[in-house]
Amino acid sequence: MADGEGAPRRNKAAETMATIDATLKRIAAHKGVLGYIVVNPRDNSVIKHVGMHDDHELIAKYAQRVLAFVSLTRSVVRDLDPLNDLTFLRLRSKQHEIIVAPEWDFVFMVVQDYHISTKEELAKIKVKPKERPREPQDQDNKEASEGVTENVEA
Amino acid sequence: MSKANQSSVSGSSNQSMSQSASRSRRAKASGTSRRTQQVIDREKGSDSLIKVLDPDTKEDRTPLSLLRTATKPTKGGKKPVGESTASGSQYSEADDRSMSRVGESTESDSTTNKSASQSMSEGDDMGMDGVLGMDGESTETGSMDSRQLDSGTKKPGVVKKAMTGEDEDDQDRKPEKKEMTYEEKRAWLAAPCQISLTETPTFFLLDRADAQIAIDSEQAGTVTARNEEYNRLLEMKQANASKYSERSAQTFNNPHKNKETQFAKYESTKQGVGVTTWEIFDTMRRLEEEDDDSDGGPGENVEKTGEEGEGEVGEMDDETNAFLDAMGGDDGDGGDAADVSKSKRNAWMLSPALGHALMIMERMVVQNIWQGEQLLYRNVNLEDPFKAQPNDNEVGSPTRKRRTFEEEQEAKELEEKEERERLAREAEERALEAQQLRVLWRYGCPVVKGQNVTCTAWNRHNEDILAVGYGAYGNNSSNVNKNGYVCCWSLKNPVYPERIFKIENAGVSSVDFSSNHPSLLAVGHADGALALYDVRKAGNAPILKSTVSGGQHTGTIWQCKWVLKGKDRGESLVSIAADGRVTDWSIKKGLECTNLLRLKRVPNKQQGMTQLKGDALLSRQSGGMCVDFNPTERILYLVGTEDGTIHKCSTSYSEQYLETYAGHAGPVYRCKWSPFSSDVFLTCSADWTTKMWRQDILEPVLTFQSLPDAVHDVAWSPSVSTIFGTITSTGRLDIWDITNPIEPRTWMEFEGRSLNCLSFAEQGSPVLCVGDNKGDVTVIKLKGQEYNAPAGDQGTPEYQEERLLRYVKKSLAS
Repeated sequence: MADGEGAPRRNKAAETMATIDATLKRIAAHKGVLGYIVVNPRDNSVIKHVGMHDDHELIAKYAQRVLAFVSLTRSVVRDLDPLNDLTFLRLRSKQHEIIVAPEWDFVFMVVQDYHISTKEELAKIKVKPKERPREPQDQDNKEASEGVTENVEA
Repeated sequence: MSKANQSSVSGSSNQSMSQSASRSRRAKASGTSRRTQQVIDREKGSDSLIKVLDPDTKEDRTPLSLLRTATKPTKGGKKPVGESTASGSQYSEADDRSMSRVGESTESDSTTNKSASQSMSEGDDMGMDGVLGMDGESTETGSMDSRQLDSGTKKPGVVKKAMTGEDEDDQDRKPEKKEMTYEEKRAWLAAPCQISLTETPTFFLLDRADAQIAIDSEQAGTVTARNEEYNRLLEMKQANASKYSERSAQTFNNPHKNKETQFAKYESTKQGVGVTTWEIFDTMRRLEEEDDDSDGGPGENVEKTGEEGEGEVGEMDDETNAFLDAMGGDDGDGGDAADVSKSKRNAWMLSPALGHALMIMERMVVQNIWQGEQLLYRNVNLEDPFKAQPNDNEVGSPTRKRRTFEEEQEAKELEEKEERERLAREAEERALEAQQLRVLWRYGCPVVKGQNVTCTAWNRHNEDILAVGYGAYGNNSSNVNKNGYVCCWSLKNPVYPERIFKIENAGVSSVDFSSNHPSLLAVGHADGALALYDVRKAGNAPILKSTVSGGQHTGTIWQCKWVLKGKDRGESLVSIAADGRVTDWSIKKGLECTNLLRLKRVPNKQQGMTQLKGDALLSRQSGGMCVDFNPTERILYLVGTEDGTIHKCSTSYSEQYLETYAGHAGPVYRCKWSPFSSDVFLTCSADWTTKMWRQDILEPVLTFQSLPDAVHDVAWSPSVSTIFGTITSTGRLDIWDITNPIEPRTWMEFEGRSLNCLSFAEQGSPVLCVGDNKGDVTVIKLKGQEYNAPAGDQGTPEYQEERLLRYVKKSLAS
């Protein structure tokens, strides 16, 4: 029936939407990420933003300038070879990094502070490493001596 | 005289009057009717405006009154001009007028002069002839000064010959200063007057230079022809003069008139356009596509050639609408306007490019944080120039200023404290450096958090991808969550797996990637089912699954493995399960199995069983825990059983074992051939030991034990033939070297976790991953040169193998 066909398609669309939502949330929650902004490239309007301290002025500034930069970069890339096109843009500054995914119907930019070190994350992995062997020579001796007594036993 | 009433228009009129007076006197004095022509010679630059010269003798006859400078007196005896009126028509009037001129106004004089001069200045011979004829008849012109009056008009090109006439009064040229009588004057006036006209300077009105053409030019021919034609014409003209007549015409110059119009000023603005290469390219392409597309309407073309994303979004309309309805429905009873606006705002989320963009974006974001570890994974030990050093900002030079004693004390303490901290940190870092194992990161996500990791498998083709199976062991009634998951993790994103497959009601106990079809993943379930997944698709459904009727296992599939059967013979999937069967699956038509072997119980001498009789056996079959195929001889394989025996079998014999290795007291969890030598293999079991065997010796060559804990997994290092790792149930990871069977080379202890599976990454760098029962897979790097594949001679597999065998022999010998 009509609905029978519609239902799986709707489900598939819903699934895709769910994965996209989840990915967006993960990106926004990643370490160091200040937030992300989605801009409509045609009318320079901010479609959505998450994070960024909810500072609308700052967001508008980012949107406007990054959009201009994206079109400049795209012009450079295509000028060199019109068959080429811009796919991604990473702008790293002293303080943070702006990663931009420019597409036809949206421009998605993420601002991340990349100075975060992984120490905290790794510290969560509680492992006790082996301490440094004090005398490596001992081991060799051991091997020599105990090789004799090595016996196969269950 | 009445003629003296002359208003002087020009100074000459006075002179003319006086001249005429003097003439008449002279004429009277001479008393002859001889006409004398007076020659009026106008000299350039002379003080006297006119000079009267005798035509014959050329003596100056300018009347004294005319001359400012003394000249020869004129002859007398000239008839007055007025009397000799037998001149031609034009002069009769003139004479009359000139007669009356003396006393008349200068108008007549001037007219006379004008007419005379005009007649003269017409330059035609007739006029001249007339004048001459007149002279012949002793006409006289009173227009002696006409020339002078009209000198301003400058009649061009008029060359007047000096009129010669009779002059019989030559001899009478004497300066007579006495006053002339009226008759004399009349006679003088009537006397012919000779006027001599000389050439004016030439005025060029039209100067047309000859055009010269070289003989060898293209136009030379035509020009020569034209010239000859013209010459012929001239000759003809001269010859047939009667045929040609000259006519002249006068063109009228139309008077000019000024006309003004007014119009509004055009407003102009400047506009600039910059064009880039790609704009030109795009326009050309669009034009070409518009030409090509003859089917669809312009709207479609615009969609096609314009933004693809838009077009594709348009195609998904009904899906979009359906979904957006669902989304918009969250608002509840929000008006249609709200739905529409929300759907418009969210339209970007349905863009097909978004998924890909987000994936890349996530990886980039992850890379910014984890780049150091990722590089270490690849064994690239470079100082990341982009990674900021957090220490740079911290240690700054405090501003030195004067402080009080207390402040100084505090400052000192603070500095000391900082110093201590710094030392501690450095010590920590050094300790960290000194370790031979270094944790890189941990694969884990909320979905599988808490799940039991049962198995891991690296992708054969893309070694960044790790498949991890999650599932519960056994039937724990407490564990309500009986679902199983298979996650495909990528090195590039430790935060979230690339794929998650959820399996209902069955845990996953074994996974393996295929070699021939790298995207094919075999998953063995805890309920005995075997499923095949294509990891390229994201759906939950397997592409193939074994069925009960198809002969699937009845017990947990402890291991499934893709085995290459040699060249051109493809690959087969072998699984071993708790039901004691080793089966070979083919995927040609569905999932069909062939039993390779049925594991029969063999009395385990270790356990003190000498024979099978007498004991109530639950089954004659023992469950198989692990299987491994010989890397060189593909028909040989090892099977480890729950009883603790290891069997060497062959695919050609399905009923009996080739060898039986007894040594373990507990179920053998893993058996692995050495990747370097096909004679040596390792086994690990729940009896706390790991044993190394040589295939021709029924007793283990070496035994390794570190802790009294069941060893869950053992794995050879792919780069060094004497290194292998084991993991235990208490969370301990040991790295052993064969050369030292007493103590592991290094170890790492995971707190509170039980480690379930271990596998070395087979890439260049020595990295291993450990799965535990809390749902995490930890990736650990083996630092230290001894773990890397040795270079040069020592790196060859032969050398490695030889080294391994040497140690084995040595161990045997001892």
